[in-house]
Amino acid sequence: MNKVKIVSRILYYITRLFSLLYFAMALNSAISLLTGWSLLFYENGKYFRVCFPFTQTPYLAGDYNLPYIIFEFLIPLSLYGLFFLLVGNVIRVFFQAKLFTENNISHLRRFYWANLILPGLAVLLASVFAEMDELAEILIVLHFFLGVFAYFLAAIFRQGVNLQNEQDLII
Amino acid sequence: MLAKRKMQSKELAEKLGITPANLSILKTGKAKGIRFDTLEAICEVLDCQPGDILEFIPN
Repeated sequence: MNKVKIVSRILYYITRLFSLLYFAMALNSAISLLTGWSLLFYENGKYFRVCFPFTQTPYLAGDYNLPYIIFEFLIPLSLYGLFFLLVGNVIRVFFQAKLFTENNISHLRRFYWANLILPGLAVLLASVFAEMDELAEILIVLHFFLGVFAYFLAAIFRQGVNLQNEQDLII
Repeated sequence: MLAKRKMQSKELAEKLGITPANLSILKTGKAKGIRFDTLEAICEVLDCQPGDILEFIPN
């Protein structure tokens, strides 16, 4: 179990970093697009590029139209920030003192509901305003399978909690 | 048995190495089971037999 705790702790820090990066990118992009700071335009304002703060070095690009910016740029960036946040919470479960607890099940529950519902909902909403890439459908399927896997894991943890409670009552 | 041996629950729990809360669970019958080493320790501390502290009550 020691190795699991070490690996899960490392993965937890990595996923937290990714979550922070995605949220930072979403925030930076939103500020850039609203204010024009660290923002470059190409092909007569058809495309935009977001630069690192206080620099002219671009790192994100997209079509400069409102539906794309909201539904295919800012929302996906934010949702992936949320995804890595929830993944981090699930991974953190594995280096807690007690594995089978109600709190840990709730982290799994949030993770599977988010993966089962949010991608489909986001793509459905986006498809009303903009044309969706084939990649979006693949991502929905991938996240759906991830959600189903987490659902089964939550069921195993539920069994674990019941067994743990019974074990705690054997003095 | 605690009264016979003039012992308090807290003292018994300390001697057994279990928490007062767990001892309370045993006393009130809420425990799902008891380990043999716990039963052995109780009998040793209270100088009694398992039958002195366990009772079968049909449902």
